Amino acid sequence: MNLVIQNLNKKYANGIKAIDNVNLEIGNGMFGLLGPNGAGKSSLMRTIATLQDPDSGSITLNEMDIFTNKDELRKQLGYLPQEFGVYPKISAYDMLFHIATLKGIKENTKDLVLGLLNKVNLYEFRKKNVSDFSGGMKQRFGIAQALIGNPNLLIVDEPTAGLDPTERNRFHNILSEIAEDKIVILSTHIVQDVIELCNNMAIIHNGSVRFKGSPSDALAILKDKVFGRFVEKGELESFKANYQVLSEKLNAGKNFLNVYSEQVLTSPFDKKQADLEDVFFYICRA
Amino acid sequence: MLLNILIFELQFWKKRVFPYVFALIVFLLTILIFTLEGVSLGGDANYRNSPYSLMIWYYVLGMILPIFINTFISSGVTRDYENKFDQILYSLPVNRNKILLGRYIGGLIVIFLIFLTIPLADILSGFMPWADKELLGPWRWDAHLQSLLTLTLPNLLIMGSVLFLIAAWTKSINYSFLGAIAVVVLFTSISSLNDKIDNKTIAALTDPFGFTSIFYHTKKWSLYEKNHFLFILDWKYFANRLIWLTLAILLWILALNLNKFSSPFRKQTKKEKQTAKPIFSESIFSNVVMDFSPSYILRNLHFQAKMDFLHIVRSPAFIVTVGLILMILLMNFVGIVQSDSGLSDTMATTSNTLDFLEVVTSMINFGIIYFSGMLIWKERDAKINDIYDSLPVKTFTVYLGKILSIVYLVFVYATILLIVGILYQIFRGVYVIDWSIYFAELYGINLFYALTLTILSMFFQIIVNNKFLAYFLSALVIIVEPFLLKWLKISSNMLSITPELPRRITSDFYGYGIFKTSTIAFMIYWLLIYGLIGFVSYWFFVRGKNISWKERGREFVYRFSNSKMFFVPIFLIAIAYTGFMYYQTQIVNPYFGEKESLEREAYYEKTYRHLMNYPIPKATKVDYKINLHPSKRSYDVKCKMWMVNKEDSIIDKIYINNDIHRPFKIKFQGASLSNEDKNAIVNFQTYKLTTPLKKGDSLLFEYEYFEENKGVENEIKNNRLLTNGTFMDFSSFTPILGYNKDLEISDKSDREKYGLPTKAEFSPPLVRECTHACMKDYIGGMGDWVTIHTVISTDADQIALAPGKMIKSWKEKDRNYFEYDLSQPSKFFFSIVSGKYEILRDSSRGVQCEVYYIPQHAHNTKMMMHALKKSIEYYSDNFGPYKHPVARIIEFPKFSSFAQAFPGTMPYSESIGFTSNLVKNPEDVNEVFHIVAHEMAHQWWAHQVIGADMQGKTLLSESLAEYSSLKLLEKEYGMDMTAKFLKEANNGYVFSRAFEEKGESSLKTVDNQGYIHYQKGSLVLYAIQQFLGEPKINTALSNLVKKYGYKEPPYPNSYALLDEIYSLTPDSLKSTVKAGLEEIIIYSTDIKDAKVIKRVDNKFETSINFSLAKNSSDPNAKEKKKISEINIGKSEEVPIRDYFDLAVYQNAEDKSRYGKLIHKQRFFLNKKENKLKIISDKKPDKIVIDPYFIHIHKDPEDNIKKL
Repeated sequence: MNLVIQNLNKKYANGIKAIDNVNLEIGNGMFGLLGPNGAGKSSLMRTIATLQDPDSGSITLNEMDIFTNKDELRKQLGYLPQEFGVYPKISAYDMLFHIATLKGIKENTKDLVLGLLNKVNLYEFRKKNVSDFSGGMKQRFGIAQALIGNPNLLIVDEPTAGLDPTERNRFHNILSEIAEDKIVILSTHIVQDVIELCNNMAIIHNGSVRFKGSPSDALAILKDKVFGRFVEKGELESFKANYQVLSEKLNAGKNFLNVYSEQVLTSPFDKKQADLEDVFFYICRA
Repeated sequence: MLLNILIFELQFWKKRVFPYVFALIVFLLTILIFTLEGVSLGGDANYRNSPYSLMIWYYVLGMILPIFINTFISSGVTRDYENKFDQILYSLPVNRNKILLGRYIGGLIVIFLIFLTIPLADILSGFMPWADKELLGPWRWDAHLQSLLTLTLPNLLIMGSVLFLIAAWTKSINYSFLGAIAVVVLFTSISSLNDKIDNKTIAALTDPFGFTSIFYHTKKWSLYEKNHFLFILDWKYFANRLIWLTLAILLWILALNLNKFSSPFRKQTKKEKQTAKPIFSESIFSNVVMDFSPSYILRNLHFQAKMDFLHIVRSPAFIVTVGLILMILLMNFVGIVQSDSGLSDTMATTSNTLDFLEVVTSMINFGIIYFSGMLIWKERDAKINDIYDSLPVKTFTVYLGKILSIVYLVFVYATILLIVGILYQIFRGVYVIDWSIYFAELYGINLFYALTLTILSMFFQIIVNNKFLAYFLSALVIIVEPFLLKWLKISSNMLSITPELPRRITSDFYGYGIFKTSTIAFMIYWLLIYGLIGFVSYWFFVRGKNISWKERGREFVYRFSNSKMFFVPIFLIAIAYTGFMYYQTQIVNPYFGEKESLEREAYYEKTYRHLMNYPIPKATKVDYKINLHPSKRSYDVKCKMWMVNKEDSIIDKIYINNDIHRPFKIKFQGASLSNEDKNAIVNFQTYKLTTPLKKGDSLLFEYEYFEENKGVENEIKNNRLLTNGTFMDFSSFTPILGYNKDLEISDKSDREKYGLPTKAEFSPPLVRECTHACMKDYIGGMGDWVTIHTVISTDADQIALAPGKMIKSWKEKDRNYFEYDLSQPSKFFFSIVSGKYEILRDSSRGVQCEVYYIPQHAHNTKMMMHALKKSIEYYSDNFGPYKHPVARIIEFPKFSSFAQAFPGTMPYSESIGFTSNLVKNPEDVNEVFHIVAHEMAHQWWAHQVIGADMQGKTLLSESLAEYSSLKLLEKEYGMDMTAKFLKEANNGYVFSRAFEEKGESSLKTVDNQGYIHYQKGSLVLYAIQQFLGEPKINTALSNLVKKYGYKEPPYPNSYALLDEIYSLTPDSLKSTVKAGLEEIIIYSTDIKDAKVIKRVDNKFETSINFSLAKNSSDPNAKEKKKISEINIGKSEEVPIRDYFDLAVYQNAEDKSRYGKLIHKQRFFLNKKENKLKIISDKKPDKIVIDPYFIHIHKDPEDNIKKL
């Protein structure tokens, strides 16, 4: 499987450039799309999911242009949007059955649907209306529907938002299990997701790709260039003015600053092992 | 606090587009209503902006108030829930009730401001360049203010509260919208049911709109009053508003409390019991079978339709529509069963039942529009569209599936209607159910309309891509289109937005018969057109986030090329079929459109009106040979007509109105065609006689006529030539000679438009000197008294009828032949009939009596025969002999619902009489008996004595026939039924005179005004009979027959009857009798109090205290060019010097009108205020002023007082 995105552009009517000349090549395995809220991740994923046409550029899946072969792409696609709802008064089972039918499943649909429900741990709730599900249950339902039909291309947009740690783990397991021989694109603003799952990633900011490569490539950018220290509340402003602050965090009630510096900073700064989050902040601040 | 919320709400609306859009629509509509030609709310002779028209306009807009309320008030309640902001908002330290109240008031203010554009539009209408300033009256700020404060504002508060409650309860704008529709339907239904309630007070108090009490006064208003008066607000109005406003406040309080609880539509489902969990193998995920073969499309289509249908059925909206359908039908049923029109009821035949079911059509249409929108937005409303749209499902299966699900829905509705219809028929005692009509109408034509409406409303939803705007457009199209078509004068059924079909008349005679072909042809045409609309909808069907037109344009290109192979052939077929339909409806079966007809009629009048009095020879003897082929829809006629010049002048030319599309082949002895003019509405031909006709000279006129109806027609041109039940009068197959003034345009504004002078009076004025002016009778100038001989043939299974006695009948070449002879010279006014009839025969006074009917309609034939015999007896005993050997009643299909009298023959529509239900309320006026008696009376009054063609012409026919039948009704059923009949006549007269526009004549000068010659005629003549006694009236009437019956012209006029009556009237009654015949007098009564006391001599003394007003209108008030000069219906009070009857009754509660008469006494009154006493032996419980209508009253109910 090979998904190639070339020179992709999309500008909305309100003037916002959601996708700004994006070029990506994505092969089998998990691919992480990292970016802050509003970076254009969802626009890009919707475009790949054929829900939205770009202004220019192309996307090909195994050299097939997806915009002229939408139906072909859709046959191979599993898509979990960032936000979704369901029809009122429809049980999880019926709803999945419905989607399975629309996805072209002809035989053993019942087994498939029940199996999927079991896989996402919703078997006991199969007769419950999806509209009455809690956020986590609904999200798991969303995953189940995306997995129907064993898709070659699975797009999951911010899937772990609202999941508790156990559910998140379960979800990560499912994803890594199926990602071997297909493309899984995962968008998230949670750095940890990418670290745990992805071999390849891209960081998107203001619609354009600011970084692409493996997480270790990303870490290499900031090697030996991150320093941290505790500061008093009153000093914050002056530090922000004088240093390139990557992040400020509360640590046991006190403010802890991570700063980027080409030169080695001395005490009270401590040299810090750069993590992906620092890279994320570094790229998105620049 | 409240003020802040209110200001916030107003600022909120200030920034929205909706208030401006609505205001603009109301403003423009008002301007159009006030200025567009041919549109008028209060009648043509009303100012477009008269106080009365304004009232109607505010009333009409009041009907759509719920849409305003839903937009501006309900949305304020549901806004936070829809936006999921409720949790935040209600966690703030604000008073929820204050927020809601603030928004409610804010919405009210916005709506009220929108309504203020009406007075503004009124002011500005006069400045519109196309406005006819003659039609605009002064700007009446007081009328606007009155309507705004008494019609708009209270209804806004009341309906606002109801809808507010619904919104607060459901917390959903969709259900509020549905609620708005329900409120319109429900309120309108209650309001219209109220019309059927006899008790005016209850009706006025329960009307949710509060209009009933206002209409009660205005519906009897004359033109003058409509143009000048503000409407009357009586105590009933205020009591009604008080009741409903109280209810509104209660609903308000309920709504505020309801809001604290969660919505019923968001409740939790029950816990399911657990079952053992199976073991799942992993392989099912990797080894799934995905099938995208063509069967995938079919499976999906079916699946989509099923899911969407279930979605509809599970929605509360569905339950609401079904509930409303059942409720409306139930109310309609109750209304029919309990209605006390005093007239006999019609039987619940299948086609009548379909009329009964029709009340819910608009409800179902709104349902279809609502559900179409709901389905188009189903995925997006559920926010599942991102998932749904990325599935491999084909866009067209989604679209078609949604249409299909509405088709399923309409099947459900149709089945509900079918069940209700059958139950209704069974309940009303009809067990003969015509399944074919049920299925064809409910599952055929209804489904067709539903399907096209679905495609149309989905088309709007898809193209506009805004649910509420699309709803608005859909509703606008179905409401405005009929007016638009009328205004544009479009006649072709091919040119409209929603499908038009040729008018069809189903009948128990033939089912769909001749209407079937054209109806189906048009249905196919519309299905093709809507198929194309379907393609366009598919091309632009929104999928994914591609909602800008640029993106949709790209989708269009893609989908268009994908669907080309289906679209192109269908498009070509549609074009070819349109061509076929054009060829069939315009070339094979040409007709003149409305506009062309008017132009040709105007040309005809302008060019040939000067020939109006050109002499025409009169027919004396006619010989017809007619071959009817009902099954082939064709017939041919050969006619020989012997004519004589009865005029003093020499005739050298004969003008003939020949048909342009189906010409008569004319053969004239000694005459040649010298000119013809096909530019007129007819081919106006001039024949020059080689030897001019002198007085007394005769002439043989011969012609042949052939007519064949085939193919598809825009409207069925000859809907009288039917496969069973053909009924055509002579004018269908006889050319009219001379200038035919029936072809002149009668509509006032059309006449003006084509530059024709206003027809101030339709008939020449009444003159006493009746010689030259009375040479023509009023039903046609072809002949005075003629004999007719006819040989008529028809299909083997039918009987054909022509005027006169049947001489013989025979079979020839598998056809039936009949020979008839009308030997008594009669009016040239007859019809021919052919059908599969049963015959009931009897005889009376040597006259052969026959009733022809179809086997299904035997119920009332005995009653008809009875009435026929009674009529012959009473009329020939008292008026003069009946001169025909036969008297026939012949049933004909319900293309019309009248009965008509031809010499010796009375065709009678199946929709009246033959299907009347006499069993239900035997005490009601027996319409079957009455109509037979009326038509039979015409054998004297019209066919023996006929009025000259001038004012007062129908007094001698219609009024006398109506009087005669009433007298016969009294003989048969007694005074109680007479009183009912008179009350209906009184109410009908008072109601109809309010719509008089050309001027209300007196009875003496009646000019073909039905409410005068029927209703007032029967009231006045019966009153005179009560004053003078039956023998004197019969003397007068038999004198009339002796002097004028079957006599050559000059024909009599009103004075002939008036003179006979006056000569028998004592001086003391002269002014009373004259008032009835020559004046317009209406009394109004106000009973102050009445009580009964038992006297010492054990007698009962009833005293009554009442005031009386006698109002006189000018019978010479005529139509004026300027509205400001119109004084039609302006009345003034005049002094009273009249006799009045006073009567007391017992057992008022039984079903008769008054109860048992105990005592009746006549008083002479000459004061406005009267105190009278009446003594009786028995204790009365009701007192009635003028119980048997020797005068006409504004409202007969005011004359009755329970004791």
